[in-house]
Amino acid sequence: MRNIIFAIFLFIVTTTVFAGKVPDFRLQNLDNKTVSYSQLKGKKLTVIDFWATWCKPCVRSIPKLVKLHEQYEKQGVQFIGVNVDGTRNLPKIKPFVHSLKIAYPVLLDVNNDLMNKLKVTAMPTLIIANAEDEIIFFHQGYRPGDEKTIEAEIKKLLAAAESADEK
Amino acid sequence: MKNRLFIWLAIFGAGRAWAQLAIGNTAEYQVGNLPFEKPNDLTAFYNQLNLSYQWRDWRGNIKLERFQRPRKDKDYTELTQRSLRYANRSLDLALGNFYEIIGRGLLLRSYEIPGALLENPGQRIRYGFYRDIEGALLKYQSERLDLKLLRGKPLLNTFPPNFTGDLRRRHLVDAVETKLRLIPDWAVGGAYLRDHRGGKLKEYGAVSLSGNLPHEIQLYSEYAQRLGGGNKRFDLSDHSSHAFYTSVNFVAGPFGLSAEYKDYNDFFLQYNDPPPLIKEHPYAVLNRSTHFIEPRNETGWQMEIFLNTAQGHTAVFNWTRADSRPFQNNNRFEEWFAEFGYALDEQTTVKTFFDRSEDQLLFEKDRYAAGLYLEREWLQQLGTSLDENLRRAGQTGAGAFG
Repeated sequence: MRNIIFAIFLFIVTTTVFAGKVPDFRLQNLDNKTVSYSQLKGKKLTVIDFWATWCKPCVRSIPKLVKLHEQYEKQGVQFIGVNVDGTRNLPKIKPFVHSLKIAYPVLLDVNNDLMNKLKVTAMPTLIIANAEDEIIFFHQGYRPGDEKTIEAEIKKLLAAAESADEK
Repeated sequence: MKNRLFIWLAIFGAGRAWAQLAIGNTAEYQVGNLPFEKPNDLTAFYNQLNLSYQWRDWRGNIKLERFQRPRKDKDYTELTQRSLRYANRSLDLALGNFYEIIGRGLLLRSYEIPGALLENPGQRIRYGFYRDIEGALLKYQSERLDLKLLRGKPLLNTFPPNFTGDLRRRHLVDAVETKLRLIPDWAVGGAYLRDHRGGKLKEYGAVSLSGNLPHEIQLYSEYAQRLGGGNKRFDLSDHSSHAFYTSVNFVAGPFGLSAEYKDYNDFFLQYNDPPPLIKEHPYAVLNRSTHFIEPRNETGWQMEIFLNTAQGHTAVFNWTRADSRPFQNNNRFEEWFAEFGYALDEQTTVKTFFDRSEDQLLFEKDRYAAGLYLEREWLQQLGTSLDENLRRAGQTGAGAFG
């Protein structure tokens, strides 16, 4: 019996070593269409930014992410914004996105389903997933200068993806 | 030999299983006294443990809450949530506790605010800030059709977990919601909800329309009402139990505009949460006092205009008005808010805001607030921000500095 318990414990602990994956979710975009993750994800990397209109650090970080998106889009990096505002702010999101000049897709997670699936508990949270949908970078919060850390991570992961392609 | 086999099976199996264990814990210890009340000792410990185990498309969750205080009169340890969920790209099946919304929440909305706690004001008992449903849920999503079926007992979170019996989950709700996208850019929805409580049955229906109009105009409209009980269809008078919400937004060049209207009458279902049409402020002196909607009788408007220039300067104007009449008196809440952001350069932003409001329910006639926010990014990972706010309210004479 003790061995079985130990084996179950080992199973659970061992599995935690593996990184999480982004499931192939479906969410509604700002144009009333339901789109899936597999339709939007990047060839090499996908950067998912969870944000809300009421979150001051989120709003501060978005212009920096817009710049990173412009810079790395052609290299196979796709940014996806996931807005987690409740029903009270929904009509403001499209004008807000427009005013912040967000050129990448923004999806609405009104019920926080994706947020719960990816264990996102703080705003903003930025996730980078590779082509196999494995989560390889998880960043919570935003302070001025964090965009440099994110950019360094994108560069590092792109280089790793390219060297894997060559092999 | 047998033992080794188990261990190898566990390691090998785990590698193939691609499972994921997530543990989250919130603990809070509180010390202090409450003047003018007996007993006045506020010392308490609260802990919330959330465990989630994911294996392929399956997920199991539990939430364990514990509350203790020295006098041990209202201590509790409760497994407040347990659920098993299967989800793939199109299908979502939940058994146990889950969160769900119908439309914009006119009929039903359940939610959680992670990390936030509630305190029962009468007994000073602390517990997690969530309003879930206990039952079963089936959801199907495709490009043209969304279908939702649920049966469960919504949580009335005014009662802490140590309240036994069915006080916390008095209503049993059956609901079905469907959304069709047959024409590009447009969706029509319909919902039906049945509420069983204490041998009484109440039925509600809702219809919604959302779509994109030319010139970047977006529309959403939803009407819900009680079926039967002498209610006429699509009646917006004070004689029917109804909730009507509509919003329109528009973008043009650097401008964005949103306008919303609400009309709620006799629509306090205890598990619904219609949009309140109130500005959510990130500023410390404004976000602590807000207007709570009155679904028993309230009408109102909200308009917001955004401006964002290529140089990084921003402007936001918001006007909100709500008239509620839950009893005899009419109460008006009105707020004007303006915020200007000026980007001095790439690293420096100055923001200022002005706010004026009145709330007849809180006896606040002229509440003024203003603030200045300066942010300077010096080096990577090093920034400075200065946040100065001032609030002064007339009538009550209350003032606040943040």
